[in-house]
Amino acid sequence: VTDQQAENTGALAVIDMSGPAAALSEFGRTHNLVISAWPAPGVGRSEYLAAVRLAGLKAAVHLAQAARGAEAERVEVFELPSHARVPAALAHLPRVAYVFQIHSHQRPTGVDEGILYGDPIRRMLPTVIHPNEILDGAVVRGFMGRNATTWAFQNHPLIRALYTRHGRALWFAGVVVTVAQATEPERVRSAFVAAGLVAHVLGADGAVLTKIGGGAPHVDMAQAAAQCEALGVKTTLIVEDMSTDGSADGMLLFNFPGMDALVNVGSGQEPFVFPPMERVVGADDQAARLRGEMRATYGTLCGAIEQVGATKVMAQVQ
Amino acid sequence: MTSEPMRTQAMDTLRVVCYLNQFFGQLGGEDKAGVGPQVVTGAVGPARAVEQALGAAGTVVATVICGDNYVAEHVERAVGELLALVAAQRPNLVVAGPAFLAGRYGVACGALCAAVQAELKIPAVTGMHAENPGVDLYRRHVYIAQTGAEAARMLEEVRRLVALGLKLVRGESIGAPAQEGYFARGVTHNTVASETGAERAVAMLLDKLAGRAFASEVPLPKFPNVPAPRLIKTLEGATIALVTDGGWVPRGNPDGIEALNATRYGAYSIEGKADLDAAQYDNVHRGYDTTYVKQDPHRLVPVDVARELEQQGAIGKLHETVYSTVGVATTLAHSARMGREIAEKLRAAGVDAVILTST
Repeated sequence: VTDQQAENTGALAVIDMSGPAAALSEFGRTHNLVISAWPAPGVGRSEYLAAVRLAGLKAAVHLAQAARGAEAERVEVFELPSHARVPAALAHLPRVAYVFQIHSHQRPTGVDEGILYGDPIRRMLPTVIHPNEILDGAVVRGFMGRNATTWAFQNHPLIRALYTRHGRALWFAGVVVTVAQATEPERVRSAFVAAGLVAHVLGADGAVLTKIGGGAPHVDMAQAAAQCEALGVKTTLIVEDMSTDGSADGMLLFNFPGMDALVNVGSGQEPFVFPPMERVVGADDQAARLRGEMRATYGTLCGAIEQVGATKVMAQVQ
Repeated sequence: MTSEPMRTQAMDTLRVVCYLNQFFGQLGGEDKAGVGPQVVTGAVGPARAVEQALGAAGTVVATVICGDNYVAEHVERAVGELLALVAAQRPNLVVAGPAFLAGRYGVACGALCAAVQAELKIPAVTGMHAENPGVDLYRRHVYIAQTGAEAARMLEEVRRLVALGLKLVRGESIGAPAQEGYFARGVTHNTVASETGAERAVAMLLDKLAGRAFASEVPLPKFPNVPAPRLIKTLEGATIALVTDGGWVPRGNPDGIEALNATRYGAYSIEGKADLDAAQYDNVHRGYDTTYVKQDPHRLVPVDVARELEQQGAIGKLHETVYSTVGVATTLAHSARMGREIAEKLRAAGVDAVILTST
């Protein structure tokens, strides 16, 4: 779904199907249907964004219905019993939880901006949900979710990675969904509640945390992780490279002791040159630019930088 | 995707200029450390190892030599003179040193390489031991290959240096510091890892849980610890200033402070104002929900309460200038500079303490 009112047409704007960037994003390999809908006169910004997103979700359901009855090429089973029922033989495995920050309130969240089961979660406290709910589409990206796509949530790479090792190298203890808060007291409360769920309800030994949005959510996640560590839960965080001038000094916006296990998913702000493309589909207003060489950033390329760690792009300190 | 090649052109045989100090340039020891810049045709001393490492790829057309003290005592003049000698050779690449643990020599190599890149727009590489002061001074600007403390494995180390230089000349991508053997320059570049971020995060956590070694992909920041200075006066006698990075600006943003990635700050007078009229101000910060501070700027810049405290005598005086900038995606370098400038102005104005409101 394209946003025809976007101020910054650069963000997540381009899918490269055949050029050098095709390998960087999953969308270079998927079949993509683009819906471009223009707002009627007088329609508000939030209403418009909610409408085009609903159109995208409905289109997805229609497409899925067309495949109903077709034989599956591959079947994967995601089975996670209640966390209280760990077989005794597997009780020695380290219990690992996932703290999934699903939205940021650093900008006002629209009343129509459904995030979790269609709710704009404007007052949500950290909540335990089953990982399969996320794979089934419970979480949808917010209107302004930078370097994040709903597709990555529904094929959640971290949940899948935890399932892959579940029962062998670890016991997948469950998922806590959180929101990056707008004020300090809410942030502190959220960090305490999330860490309490991870340590005392899920009984986790370790947790992976991811974030959505920009700087404030980055710190919000770190605060929750610091609280987990304080309760004896070892953490690993997935961060994007936040530097705006390409310096390693600016990669990180927090400095908590013990937060020593960080994975990065690259820099969305690093320049990226798109070579000229013979065939450009959709986005008539952008087509002329794309037929020539276009100087943009990694953040322009839809799906290259994913906050939840869906791709292999990473920023290397050189 | 990689660092931009400084110059890419079709070249059969590269012209390489080497730089050496008086000792490696075979002019003499410490007694010759004061000699000025000179040029010798072809390769001298370690430059022969460079020549050998280049093989068919290039030729050392000249070796430029200068005494360590000559450079150390007049850096700018010496580098200018050396640059002219280098430029006259029309090289494609400059190889300086290696300087090993020799401090003056290392600094000279770094300074020359940085100048060559900036002025002549061609790549330059050097090599040093980790403790050479030239490493910290120039690693951000120049590729410095890691060497031993002494010239014990000259050819092997020069080969690495030359390999790095050739990649730069050809505009080829440079690998990680550990892989290529140079000191990290503190810059980041997107690359493609062998596993997804999610896979790497789970693997790293399992290592951490098991007490195995793991390598974080983000270097931990080394911010200096700034001790809070003690207020020598009592609050009743102190002048207090308000400073914010929350994006507060007069309507129309007269200083053009950027909505993110700010490089500017503003100084705004509150002289004669008992409080702030919301209609006269705006907020340009793009990192948080500014609805409430636009409704009432005191939520960010508490002039109203500060004036009350001033009237009651709880504080001596409220400084009549408020400094404001936008703290979102601001680079460390600009943050440090703006902070320094604002602090200097506050100190010059006799301000004793600051209330810094952040967001």
